[in-house]
Amino acid sequence: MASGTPPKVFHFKLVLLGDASVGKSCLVVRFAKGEFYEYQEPTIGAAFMTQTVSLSSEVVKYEIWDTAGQERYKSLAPMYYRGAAAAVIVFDITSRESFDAAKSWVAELQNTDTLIALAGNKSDLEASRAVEREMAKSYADQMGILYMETSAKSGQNVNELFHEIAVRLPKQSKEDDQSRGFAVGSQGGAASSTGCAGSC
Amino acid sequence: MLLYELEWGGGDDVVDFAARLLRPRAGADKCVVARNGSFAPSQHAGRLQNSGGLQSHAAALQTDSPAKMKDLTNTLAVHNRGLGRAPGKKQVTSAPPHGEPSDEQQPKWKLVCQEIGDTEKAFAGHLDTLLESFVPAISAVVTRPEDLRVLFGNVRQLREFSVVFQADLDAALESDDVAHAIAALYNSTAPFFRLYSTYCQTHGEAQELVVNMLANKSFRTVVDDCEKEAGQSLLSLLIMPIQRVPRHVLLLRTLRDALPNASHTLPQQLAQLLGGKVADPKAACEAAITKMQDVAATINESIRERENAVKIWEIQHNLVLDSGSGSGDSSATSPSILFETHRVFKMEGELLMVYGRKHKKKRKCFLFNDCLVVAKSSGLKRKKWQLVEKVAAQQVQDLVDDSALTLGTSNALLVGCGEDHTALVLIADSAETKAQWLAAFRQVVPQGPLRIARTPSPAASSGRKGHGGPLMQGLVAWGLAVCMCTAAWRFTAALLVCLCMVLKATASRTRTVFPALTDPGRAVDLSDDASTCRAEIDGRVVAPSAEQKLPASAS
Repeated sequence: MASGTPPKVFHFKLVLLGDASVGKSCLVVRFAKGEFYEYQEPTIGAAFMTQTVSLSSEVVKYEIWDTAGQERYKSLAPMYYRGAAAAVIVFDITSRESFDAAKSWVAELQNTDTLIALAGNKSDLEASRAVEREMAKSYADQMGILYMETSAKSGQNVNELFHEIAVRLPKQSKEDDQSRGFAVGSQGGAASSTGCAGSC
Repeated sequence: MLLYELEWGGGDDVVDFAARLLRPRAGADKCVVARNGSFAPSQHAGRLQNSGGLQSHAAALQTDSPAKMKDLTNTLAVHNRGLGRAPGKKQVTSAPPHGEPSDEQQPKWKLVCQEIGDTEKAFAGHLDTLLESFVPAISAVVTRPEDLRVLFGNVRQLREFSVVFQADLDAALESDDVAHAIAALYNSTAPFFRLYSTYCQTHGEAQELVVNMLANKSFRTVVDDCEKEAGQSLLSLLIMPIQRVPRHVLLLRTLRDALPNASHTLPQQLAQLLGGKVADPKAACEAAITKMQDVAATINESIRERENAVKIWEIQHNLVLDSGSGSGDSSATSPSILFETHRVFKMEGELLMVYGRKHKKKRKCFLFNDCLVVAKSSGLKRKKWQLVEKVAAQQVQDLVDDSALTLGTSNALLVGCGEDHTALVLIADSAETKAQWLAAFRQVVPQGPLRIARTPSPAASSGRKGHGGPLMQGLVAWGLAVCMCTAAWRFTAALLVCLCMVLKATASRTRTVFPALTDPGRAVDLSDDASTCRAEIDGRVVAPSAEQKLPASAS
């Protein structure tokens, strides 16, 4: 994806939240590495992963923090979304329970500056769907958040989801970022990153 | 005939070790230890492949009859076919399509082991950045040592621990039996990961502190400089130890799933024969996962304990105990009524407390594991609450909306309190809130049949512990007040009600606890004049049992 002039590069911290085994890590891997592995490739131990999204005149570099493994330790989760520019709340369309959990996450994050996106994952398992698309969509509309149904397995909507978030992320916090500046604190973290652990 | 046979994929040292291990076993006529491929099955020998590259997947078969051995070998052959393995050949896992050429021969479990080592190094690198760049710079501008303690916790200790752990990991990664060595390392090291709880406990406060201190210009400048240099934000670095322990669990789980199946998935007769004699990395991995999960749970619990302590302190801090109104706040005697080591905060919120049909008061309720604190907003000091009462919740019941006890309101619940099983009727603002409260109450109340004697009245609450007398006085006083306040046409009715109350109160002296109220619908309708409904609730709550008839009834 080439753009004419050298694009501005912006860094954003993004966090994934949701119940256990809704496919958070798979989504990240699918997005960060462009592949889905039935038995997931080693990436699970990394503190975060990085991936870039090219927009027309700018490049958004995500630093993606996955809370995988900590779902049961709910008291730890707020520490992740604090300072995150965006949060992807993931549920499994075959699990009603995971959708309810997603709703409580949305409620929890609603009053923060974090941009919220709701992802109904495992859309490849249409046959065992337990959460209707219309219901999830109308809920998301009602809450004023982005909703997409994704499949980490087929790749459906995964790039689209992160692309849409990149488009929607407030430009304001991107501005001073070109000089690798930080907007830590109430603005949410636009953190610059040097791939390190994530690029394994 | 007893026979042990074994096939190893390891080096000579492993083969020697296996021979030493097996030879002394009682009754073994023969011990064959062979390396991959060089194994020649003898007459009654069974053999287990060293499948999937498990270098020390030792299997000892023992049998006393040729027929049995034949069964076993057949079973094994079937099992191996099922796994798509050729007997005697080391399994090569198909490499991921994108993989580096050098990785293509690596089975997945090896990659996972590698990742455990790599990510621990990366993690230690982040801690180094924190310790070498941020800590000295921030220490120069933050003067209060307690702030520094909150900010960085025992991160230095964690770094030291990581150094030791990395050395052990490297040794494990070099060993012939990587998977087993790593699992064994986690098994022996797991308790030390509790060191993380010290760090994790204060992390929430550390984040708040960072956000607050960033308002300070000199602090901000220092942090900005460090962040530019490190390419990582302070908050990101600070959170890394938080996620490290759960990551270990995930890594171990991935490792377990990637390891080839061992004896526990073989048919049962084989597993029985092998029982306990197989050094199974998968089982060791499973044990390590359990241990690390326990550690993660302990850490989380310690965070919760700290949050609970802070929360209780806050509630106590905002609770005013002196009662200006002079009503019976007898429980508010000690200035620290909440500090108990066992006390756990459960829920808080505003509920309407029913004192009568037209007498409902907004109350702030704090539910703990062992008591319910009811407070009202303190008129003078905002954000402060004045204690109304502190009771031990014994029972809780969902009041259906058409129940007489709800006095026409919806979303009500009934809470039986204290040793004398008095009851409070509380009204939530929505069905959802009510459900939350009910769930919270059900967590804390002891299970058993509902036993309620009477509802407390504000006037009588001071004497709730004594039966009969003070209650009666209170009711009479209230009745009189009502009589004086109501219009003349209501006088007679009110007087009658008062009389009934007195009678009932007398009766209640003789039975301290009434039988179970299982069906609120059984309660009799209230009379029209319910301004004195404290007593009338009393009359309705107390459903007469079959053998005990109420001496008087209001209707």
